[in-house]
Amino acid sequence: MVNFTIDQIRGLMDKISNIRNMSVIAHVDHGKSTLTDSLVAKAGIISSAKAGETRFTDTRQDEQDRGITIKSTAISMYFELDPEQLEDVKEKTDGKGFLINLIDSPGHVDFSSEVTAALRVTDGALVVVDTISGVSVQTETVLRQALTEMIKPVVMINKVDRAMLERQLPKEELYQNFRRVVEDVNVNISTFQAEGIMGDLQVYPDAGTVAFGSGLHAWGFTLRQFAVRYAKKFGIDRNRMMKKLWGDNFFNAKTKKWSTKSSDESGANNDRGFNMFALDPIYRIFDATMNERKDEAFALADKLEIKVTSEERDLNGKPLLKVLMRKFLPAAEALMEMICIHLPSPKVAQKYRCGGLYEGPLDDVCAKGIQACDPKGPLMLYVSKMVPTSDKGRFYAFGRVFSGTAASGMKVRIQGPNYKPGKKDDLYVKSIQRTILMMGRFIESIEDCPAGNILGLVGIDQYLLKSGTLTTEETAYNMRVMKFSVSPVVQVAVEVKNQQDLPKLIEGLKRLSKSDPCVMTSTSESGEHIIAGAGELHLEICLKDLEEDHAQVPIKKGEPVVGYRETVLAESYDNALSKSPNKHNRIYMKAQPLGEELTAAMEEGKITPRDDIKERGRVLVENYEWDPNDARKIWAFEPENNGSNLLVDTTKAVQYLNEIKDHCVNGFRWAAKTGPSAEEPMRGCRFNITDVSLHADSIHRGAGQIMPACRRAIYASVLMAQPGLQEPIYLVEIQCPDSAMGGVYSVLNRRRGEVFDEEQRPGTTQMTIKAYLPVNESFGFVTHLRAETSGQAFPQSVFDHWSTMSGTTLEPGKVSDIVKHVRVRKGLKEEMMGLDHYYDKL
Amino acid sequence: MSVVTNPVAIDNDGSAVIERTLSLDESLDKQVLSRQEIIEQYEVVRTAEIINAGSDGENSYLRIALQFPDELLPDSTVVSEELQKRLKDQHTQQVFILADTSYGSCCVDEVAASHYSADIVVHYGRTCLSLSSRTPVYYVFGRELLDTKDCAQRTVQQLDPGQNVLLMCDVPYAYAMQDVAHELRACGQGKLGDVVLSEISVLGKPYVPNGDTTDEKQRIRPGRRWQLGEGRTIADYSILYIGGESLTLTNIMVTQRAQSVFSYDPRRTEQPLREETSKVNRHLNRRYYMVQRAKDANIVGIVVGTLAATRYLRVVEALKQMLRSAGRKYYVFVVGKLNVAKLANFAEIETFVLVACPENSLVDSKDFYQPVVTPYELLLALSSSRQWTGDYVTDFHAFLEEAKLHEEEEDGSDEDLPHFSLITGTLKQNRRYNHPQNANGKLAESSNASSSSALVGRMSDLEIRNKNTEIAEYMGSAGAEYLMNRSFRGLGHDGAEDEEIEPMKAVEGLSGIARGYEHEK
Repeated sequence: MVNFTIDQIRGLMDKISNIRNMSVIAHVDHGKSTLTDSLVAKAGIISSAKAGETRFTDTRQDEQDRGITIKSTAISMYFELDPEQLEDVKEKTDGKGFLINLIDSPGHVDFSSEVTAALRVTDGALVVVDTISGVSVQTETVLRQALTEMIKPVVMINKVDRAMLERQLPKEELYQNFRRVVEDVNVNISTFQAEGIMGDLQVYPDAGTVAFGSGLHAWGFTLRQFAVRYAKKFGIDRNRMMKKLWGDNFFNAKTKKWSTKSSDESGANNDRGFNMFALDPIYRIFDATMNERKDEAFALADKLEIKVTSEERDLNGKPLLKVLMRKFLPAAEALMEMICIHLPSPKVAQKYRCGGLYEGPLDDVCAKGIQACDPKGPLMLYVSKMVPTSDKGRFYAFGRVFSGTAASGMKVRIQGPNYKPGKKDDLYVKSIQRTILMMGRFIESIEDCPAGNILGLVGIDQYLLKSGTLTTEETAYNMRVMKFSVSPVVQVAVEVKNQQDLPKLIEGLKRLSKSDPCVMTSTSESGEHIIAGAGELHLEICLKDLEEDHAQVPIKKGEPVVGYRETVLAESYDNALSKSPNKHNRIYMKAQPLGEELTAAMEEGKITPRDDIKERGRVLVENYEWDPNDARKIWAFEPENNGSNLLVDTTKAVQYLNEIKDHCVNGFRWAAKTGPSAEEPMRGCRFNITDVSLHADSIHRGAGQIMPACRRAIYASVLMAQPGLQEPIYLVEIQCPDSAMGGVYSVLNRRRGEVFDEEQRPGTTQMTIKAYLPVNESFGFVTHLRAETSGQAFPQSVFDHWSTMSGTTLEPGKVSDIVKHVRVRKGLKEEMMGLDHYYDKL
Repeated sequence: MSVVTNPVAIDNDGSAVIERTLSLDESLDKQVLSRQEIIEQYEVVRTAEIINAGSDGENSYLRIALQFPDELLPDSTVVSEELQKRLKDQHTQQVFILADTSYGSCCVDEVAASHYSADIVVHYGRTCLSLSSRTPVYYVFGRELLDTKDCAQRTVQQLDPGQNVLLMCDVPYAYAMQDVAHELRACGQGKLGDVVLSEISVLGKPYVPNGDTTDEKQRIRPGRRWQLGEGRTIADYSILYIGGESLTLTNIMVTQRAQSVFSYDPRRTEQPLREETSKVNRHLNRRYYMVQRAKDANIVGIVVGTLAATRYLRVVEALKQMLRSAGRKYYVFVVGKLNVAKLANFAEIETFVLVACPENSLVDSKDFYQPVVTPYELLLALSSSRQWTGDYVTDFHAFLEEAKLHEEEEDGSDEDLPHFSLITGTLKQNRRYNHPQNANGKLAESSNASSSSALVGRMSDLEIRNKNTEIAEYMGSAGAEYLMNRSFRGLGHDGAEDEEIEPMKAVEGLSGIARGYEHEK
């Protein structure tokens, strides 16, 4: 029985200070979806008995089957706070009803892009951490993402029941365990936190920003809840009580005094406040129910004011434990309280998020609308992802209104990611057909949706691929494009079994591309359809979706392959010379490596073609030891006008040089996109035009002459500079018991993996191994690892960096074998073209 | 800068052109023939008969153009001498040699022929069998040796039993096709299914255009004609192609969707008969990629690559119409023989569409900066509803029919709707350029639709001043827009943008031209 109506929700949407937009983020299998269930149950959407089993936000069949979340799912819920809870909300509130827009996100690293899309439209994040495994690689990743998006975190330490039942941890050890997790989280927060505009983001149990509990059993608590209980009992202020419940605050049962020492003068042990007041009742319930001392358990229940029905009295063991705990400390209550009290409302959050969200000047009318979260301001709406509808091929655009009000039938400017203010590329003016509320697997139509809310839009999906900005203001800039932590490095080629199905495949690729924030689909020059994803699992899901949902035709899949990058290992041993087709123009070129540091800086967007030339020049001179003259004469960043290869003019006094700049850049773009060895993109190369001689008559130095000459000169200079390959490398984090270490090492060794960190979790036999693994060797890695360790090792791989392989493409060896292999796959001649083909003699 | 004492020659004395070595079709490596052999090879006797007979059997053709491809040129003088000898009237009848054709040597170079007011063109060597529109043509295919028995036997051995066979050939083997068909039927009795022979209608007789080029019913290609068995389609047949790898074979493979294609090449010593498979898929895939590129192109160059094939003008017109209604900008080019440098000179063009004879229009444009597509591929690219299913049209007649269909389909489709570009993996909205022809209509339309103009402004019209108050900008002119994006926009001072470059003393530079400066001589 849903205990709220759509009208109620719609009413709340106008009360911006009572809205909380939040995402649930965590490492895979730390229990996000399960925990979400308890909130969903509290809202009455599913029965509370089912909470923890339904995983309501896992809407897809394969999510249910595999037990992992693949897509992020949004749900809106209505809760009411008690007056005393309201007191603690530091923001101004408006009535006791709260609207929580929650997005449950996937934890597997391959689907990190879904997390990014979820974070963009929310202001707070519930970070779920497993008590036993602690802060894992993906916890770090999502925390970092949350902090870059300026999202305020609160923490839920989950699976406490496992620590108590399976590990039988005593109270003090459990406390130490909690303390460690909280510390780990805080270390990460302080590392990744952006400049101080958001204040202190660290989490403190004694401030109520950390909850403890079990999603599966649907119980959980914050110290605030216990503080409230005991504050009444002891008659002290609950906030003071809360402080006593964490850290080195000890209670002497005899003297009834608090102290900061673990033993009193007489040497008798003082009990830690947390252990005594928070953990003790829980331990006693556990002890009583699990050891079949039901009478004691019911007595305890009466004392704790837990009402037990007569049917429930018949239960035994775990089921009874669940019932008692759920009634004693309902998880939803703790979470709701934590969310409403500590996470910011849109009104507060947008004030500091605006700078990070909006590309335009921060004093224009749109920026002001966002800062004030003004429902009467110009519409600013960011669509962060597309959600498939039941109508095949159509999508809901899922996003958040940051300013203004989105209404059905409203005419809006749809600005794609390439839109530039004042230009009309990637701009459409269309009507929103309908605005809807996303409720997990259901949707509800609403009339309009004011600023600060998350919504779905019908009827604009054809104009946006994955994300974009919607506005009514003609001068509006775009909202900043999301930056993903994963990149699509694994590719697979697909083709249809029957040629007649090709149109359906194309349509399917388009839909696939829409439905996933990260996947890339394209056609290679040899006419293959390529799908690129973050990892093997991601690709597997994409291919399955493509075949079953998006294209619905039988598909032939190729082997997964990785994309390489071509580079140079040294400087060209001589000037490479190429003449134009008419032999009247010459270009002299030298290639040299840019260095990994500079290349990475360019890829991270620290050095871009859009920078001020002088400013960029200064950085290059100071940090990368460039010649000041060269640093100002960078002609182009390619490929895609944004790449990590540079074309630099190092000529002196060449006449007409400006005139051929565009042609050279075009030739460079072409060359950088398809390198000379395997037609893979180039990376980290600098090309110096050392000299140019041009025909005096402009007709003989047109684009048709210069462009091919420049391209050939670049190719020749690469071949003279020890052409090499770079391959993508995963960072793998493997968790396993130390007994499985042998298996892990043997698998890694066989796959060219390099272990660089190995750590044992204190007090456990669990090992965390970090290693670099070439993406090329990662196919089947998970299965292989499971087989070798009898399923005890769990790896998480995320793309980390490009690594230069040893050897050049010219000499026989592994690198040249790869080149041949790639060339054959692309339908090229197996042997690459020799230097003679590009180098012209004088 | 050097003091120029004497005017710099724009080019050299032209010796390079004369000394230039041409690359010939290696596969047709010729042995030197004796005079007698030439007479036979080039069917001189038969040619003379036809010329003497004239169009009506009485009035002989007077001015005769002999068109040779580059690789047959060494024999041209002998052929022309021998032919001249055999003509009826030595005084009035004259023979010319046409060489170095403007486009592919497979097409009849009608324009060159009309420069000499030729009455008839005798075309030697490989041909695409495109129809000429004005001048009568007599094709001399030459004869290559063919072991018909061997061919038939191998075919029967390799093909699946009961397979239907459609027999096709490269032109030098055309003379023997009847025999091959005969052998095949004899040999394959009970083993092969239907054997159909494709005829080349101009074999042994001249083709005379009847002047009525508007007749839709007329097949454009006089080339290959066949009659399939009752109730069967081409998909029920396997094609047996006699001849080596050539554009003809490629063309057949992409246009005819037969069950399978076998080629029998008498010159191939090892395994003369083989199945042609992988190549075609690769090829089609590459073409497919180019269609995708063409889809993204806003500015299209129509390259006229033939002046001979009938109806090329109508194809050009159809293309223009298609591009206009799709709002794309087009330019028409005539560049003679295509090469990379020529097309790269037009850097603002995003895709070229080549109107040429069927065999020459399939340019494998890996080296070209921009893709070069066929008219049919452009049609696929412009169509919003159609996707390529592997059917392929290279011939003009079929293309024109498709173009008509296309026009009907495209009516009323949403102009704004972006398409999904498989090249970039993003949505791509094509720019719509105003063509002078329909600018009036557009203007009227936009004043009606004033509701949306509040948001878009009048962006399709004239925009007087942009935000940077730079200069007036005429939206809708593709060329102007391209120029705006270039860094070099015309003459100015070198280094004018970066004023900190100090003036320096002039230094003596190189003199002469880049391919050989003075000091290098």
